[in-house]
Amino acid sequence: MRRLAQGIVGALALAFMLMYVPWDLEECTAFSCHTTDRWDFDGYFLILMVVMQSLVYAVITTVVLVGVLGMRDSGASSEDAVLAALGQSRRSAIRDAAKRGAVDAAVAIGAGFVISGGFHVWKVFDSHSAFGAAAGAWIQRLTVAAVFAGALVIAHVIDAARPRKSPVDLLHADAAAPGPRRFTLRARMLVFGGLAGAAAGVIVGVTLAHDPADGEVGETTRTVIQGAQITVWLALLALAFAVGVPLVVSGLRPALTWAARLGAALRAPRAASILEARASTASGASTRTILAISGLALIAGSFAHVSPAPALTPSYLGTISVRPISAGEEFASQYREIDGVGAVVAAPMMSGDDAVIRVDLDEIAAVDPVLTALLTSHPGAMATSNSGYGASIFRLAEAGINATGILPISTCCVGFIDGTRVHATPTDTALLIYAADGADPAEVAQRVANFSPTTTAATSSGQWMAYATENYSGSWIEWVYYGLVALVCLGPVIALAVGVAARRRRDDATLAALGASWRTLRGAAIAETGVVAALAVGFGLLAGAVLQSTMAVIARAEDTFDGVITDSYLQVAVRSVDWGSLAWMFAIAVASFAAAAFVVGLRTRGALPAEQLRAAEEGVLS
Amino acid sequence: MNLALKSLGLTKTYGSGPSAVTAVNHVDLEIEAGVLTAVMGPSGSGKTTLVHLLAGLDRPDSGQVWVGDDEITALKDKDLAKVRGRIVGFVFQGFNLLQTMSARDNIVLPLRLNGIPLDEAWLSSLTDMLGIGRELERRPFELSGGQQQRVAIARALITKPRVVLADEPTGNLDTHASAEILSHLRQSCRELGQSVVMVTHDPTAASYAGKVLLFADGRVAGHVLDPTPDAVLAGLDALAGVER
Repeated sequence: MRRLAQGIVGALALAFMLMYVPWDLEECTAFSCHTTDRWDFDGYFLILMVVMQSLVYAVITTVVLVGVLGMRDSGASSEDAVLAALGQSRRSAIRDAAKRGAVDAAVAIGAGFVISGGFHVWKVFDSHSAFGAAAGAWIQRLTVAAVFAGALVIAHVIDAARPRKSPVDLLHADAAAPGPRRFTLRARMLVFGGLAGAAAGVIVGVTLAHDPADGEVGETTRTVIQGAQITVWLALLALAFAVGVPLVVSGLRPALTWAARLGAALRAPRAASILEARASTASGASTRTILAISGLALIAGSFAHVSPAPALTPSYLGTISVRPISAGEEFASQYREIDGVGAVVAAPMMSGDDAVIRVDLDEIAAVDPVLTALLTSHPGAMATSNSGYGASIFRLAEAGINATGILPISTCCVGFIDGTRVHATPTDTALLIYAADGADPAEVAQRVANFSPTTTAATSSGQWMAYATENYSGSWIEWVYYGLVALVCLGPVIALAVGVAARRRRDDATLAALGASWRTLRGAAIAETGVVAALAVGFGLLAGAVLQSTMAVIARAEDTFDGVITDSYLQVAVRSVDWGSLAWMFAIAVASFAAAAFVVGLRTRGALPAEQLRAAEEGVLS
Repeated sequence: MNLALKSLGLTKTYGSGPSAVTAVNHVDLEIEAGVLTAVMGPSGSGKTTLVHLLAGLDRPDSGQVWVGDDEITALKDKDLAKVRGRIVGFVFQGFNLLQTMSARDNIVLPLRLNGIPLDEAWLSSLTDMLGIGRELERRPFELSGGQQQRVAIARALITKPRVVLADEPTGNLDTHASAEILSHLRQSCRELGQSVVMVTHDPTAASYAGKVLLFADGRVAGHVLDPTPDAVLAGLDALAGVER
């Protein structure tokens, strides 16, 4: 399983490093992109941010890797036992494990760094020197590499150091039932659940006690809240692994029994008998398998999030700003001529830290009922996608905009406020551009983004497009990118699935010797793998979703310090999860596991038991 | 003569080129039904490969094997699985018990796999005879080597197969337990018409057999009928070219 752990950490590190490739270099040139990043004070801050972000996933990855390394091949545990029996000290075993982890990390993560670096160079090649653009991205990826390399080394060390077993115990470490728990599940639930509840209570209490009328909240209070947030996150994570995983393992037995009954009902009594036999036992191996699968699913589940805030009407394409204000109408008339544009609404705009547009609700009602309803239901509030990213009623007040609150929306990137309630002096004219009925918004947005008005009146203009307008959209590069992402995401799942399926070969050979046909064995393997995957993936994805939706609610609670208005926290929790993606992930992961069980089985098709035993002794993925 | 097993030109080679080893070399063999037959020979002579081939657990490079009247080397997977499940019982040298299952589950597994109802009385008498009646709920790694071997023997016998092939079935047992099990196997052969082929290194164990096949360099080099320990030793010495 050493190679499997190496593959998993390599794929995950690659996935994160790919996120730090300047994919959006072209379309970001008009904005403050990372094209000017330099290795200065901001660079150190950048590293800190990357460490914080990737550390979260590295912690989960470490747990996964410990689980994977614990799923030993048939020969590995006996090798460990022999080394221990020959006098290898624990310290020396740990040192060797750390070296193994470091070498594996250097190879796998180094390859990821080279691959993502290749994409970086390729992406910036036309317009910049390789290290001249998005220079910080190289440091960001290096930081990711260091964090994930550390995860693999730590996982190897934990695997070697824990648990303290005698050489003889090591021989049957896989088959042994999980030992008695030092702390009962109830005790763990009380400790971690209590901790999460207490920390959440602190957040709720402090935010409820705070009155926006009293002004901005102090740094100390913010630090306390952030500490409480981290505590909630860690406590929930611990709850998932220390309580959730054992509960899932205990659910494996009834699930397999149920699958066996189903098999018997479907006239597959032999496969059912194998499942029934499997159901009668639980082992350390099944615990570690579920731990590893659940951990990966939890990472995936925590990525399946969407903005819980409402979006503006789908026909809204984006906003063009024009300076001076007098040039607005000239621009508007030209944008109205673009094929597919249905409406262009001109409105005064205040630029600055927050770009705020004063909309006329009567005028906007016909083209954007969503925005109208939002601003009508909360008079004087500003709708913006920047809630949680710096927008606050106090900062708006400094700019002369006295908003009653902030309404989060998911549509990028400017703020909207009822023009009759705010009287700050505008600096630009904003043109809100809407697609015509029946037109494809993405196509029209592309035309709008590429359009260059002919003017002598305007001194400057900017655009905030709500729709993605990548130049390579729809080209083969897009497919390469999606293929790579799919490979990186599915790679660890498939590798783990193959590893899990390959571990059965010795048992399968014995079962074949006792009269099980290849078809029976494959049927049982696919059913068993499917049940294990469904339980572990289902739990992991759900835990990831719960984790991230809880954090979304808590983050929203903290945002009240800045005047963010939330009508329903329950809606925030439910809407922050991308349930559709979660369902797809579940289906794809379970299908991948079942397919891997089938494919691994294909290798033994026609093989006789003694041949399978010989193959099992040789080992794979060790 | 009623034959339980028969092979013709049976050959199995491992590896290729200069490092190739022919473990079984054109073996023609006839095993009489209802007889306990022992296979003896030096280490590395190909005994284990021979019993694997005879049980349909391994694929010969050439040659044929018959179990009764069925040529198993010509059978497809499904039919071969039936032979292994209902007609042949096998005791592996390394036991090959499923480590996550209890001893009882291991023993009754062939019944479950082959849709044969469990005969509790037979299970009870078998486990009592083998002395593992109290160990049934334990997992293999919680049992001694001898106990694991007995579980493996019980698993091979639970389906009352026509032919039992056993690779050193008493290698981990003490003299008393060995004698008891071998007596039982011999009795099964006589009374139930069961045929047993066992690989052994122990001349005393071999002396329980009706016939001892002497195996060397992948070939049947001779045999001893109605063997005694001394006769078996003499046969083995002759095989090794040693004069007593």
